[in-house]
Amino acid sequence: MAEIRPLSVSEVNRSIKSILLERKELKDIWIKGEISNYSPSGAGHIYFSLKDPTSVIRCTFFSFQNKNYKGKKLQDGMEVQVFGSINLYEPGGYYSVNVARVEELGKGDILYRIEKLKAELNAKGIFNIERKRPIPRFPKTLGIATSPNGAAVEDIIRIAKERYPNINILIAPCQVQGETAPSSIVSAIEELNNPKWEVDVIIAGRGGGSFEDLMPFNEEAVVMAYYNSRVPIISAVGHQIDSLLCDHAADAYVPTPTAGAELAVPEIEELENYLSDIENRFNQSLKYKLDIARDRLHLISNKHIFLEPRMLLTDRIQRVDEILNRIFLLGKNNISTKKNLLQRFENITIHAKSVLSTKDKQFRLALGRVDSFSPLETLTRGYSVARNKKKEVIISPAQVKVGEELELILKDQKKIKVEVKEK
Amino acid sequence: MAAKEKDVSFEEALQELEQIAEKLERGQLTLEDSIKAYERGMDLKKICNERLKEAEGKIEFLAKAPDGKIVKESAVRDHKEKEKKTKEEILF
Repeated sequence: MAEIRPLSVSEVNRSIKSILLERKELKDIWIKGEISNYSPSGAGHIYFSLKDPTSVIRCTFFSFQNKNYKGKKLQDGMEVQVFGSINLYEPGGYYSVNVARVEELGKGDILYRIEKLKAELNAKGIFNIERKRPIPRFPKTLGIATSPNGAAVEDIIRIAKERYPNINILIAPCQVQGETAPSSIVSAIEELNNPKWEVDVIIAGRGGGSFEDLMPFNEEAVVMAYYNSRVPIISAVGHQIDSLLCDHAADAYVPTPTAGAELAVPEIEELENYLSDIENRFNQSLKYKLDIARDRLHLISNKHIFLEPRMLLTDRIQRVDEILNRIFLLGKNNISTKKNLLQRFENITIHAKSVLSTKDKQFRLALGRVDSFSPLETLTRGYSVARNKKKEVIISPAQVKVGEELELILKDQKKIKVEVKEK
Repeated sequence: MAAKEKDVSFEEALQELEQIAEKLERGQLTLEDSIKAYERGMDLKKICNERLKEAEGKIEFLAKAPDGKIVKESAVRDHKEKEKKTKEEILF
């Protein structure tokens, strides 16, 4: 029995390598598959995997080979055929294809499936822009559907809390990778939509990964969960080149979980600035209003009428004055007329008096004189005056008839009646 | 400030504040109404500022209670030190 000596790892790897290299069927062969995990190195080499629905093989496309490649830029999902030989990388203990040439075959199966699903969902209106809702400006509670263990959840919490310390965060821990991920993501989104949690905005996603890692976010069920979310939902799956189907169904999408937190949560400083802005607007508006009011007041108070408020009255004063004048004149005229009249009357009276007194004197004088001539005086001397019934003094026989009764007036007005006997 | 305004949320207060600002800017209010609007606006701004300074929000995660119901559980985290004190289990 041969001595049993343990082999070193290197020896085993080298041994396998030599077997692989001997096999003609693994040398200078064409392999068909879809590129995934495309990853160029800094040194210019390109590492990627080729896969079909069940298997994967690593490929190395060294710079001295890939510099001759003139085809379309290689990327995940691209269906290609590569020409090369199987080699074993001893330090890593894995085999890979040393690629010499690459030819594009057309779209890879998976990518093709995604494109087909995308077209179907698009036709159903799942991606319609019109149905996208705005992300609430001031959410009270942020829901996160992601893995509780990845960097994504930590990034979201950190950024959200930095921006807005009073945000409430509710995490729905779910799987974001592997076969069970789609149903897990769907359940998490659905639970966050339960009204009792009072979630205002949801971030669903994960950190970056390979095309395969992100595949759950291309699954129809997941896309529909985004679509059916009652609460506005942000798709935040870390990726660079291709957009995922869930991105198109979400209300908004961002390339990283961190960006998701920035979109979902307002920054407290911004809010404070915004409030200050509003306060300024208030002050400006009120100042403007007051300025206008002041201008108007100024304009009005500068009007002649306010500078000379008497002006408002002068017309009236003048009118009153006029009326008063008229009344006065009228009164004055009236009075003076009356006065004149009175004066005239007085004058007349005086005149009349003087006339009267003159007349009186004359009268008295005359009376004295008359007295001496008075028949009454004569009567005392024995004369009498004869009068008829008409009190006419009889001075001629023609005035009387025979038989007519006459009256004789004697001294002291004594009267006797006589009858005419003859004439 | 009225007692009921203690319940006004930041968003509600801000919305009213924005509406009043717009009204005021349109300049169609009388001077007296403008002054009233201004005073109301300053009250609302105060409410907003108070809301912003309120206590820190909670960090919670959904978990299954022993009776199978989904409940909220507090996740004690110091996000500044990135240290998780509670380990959330994948629920879904």
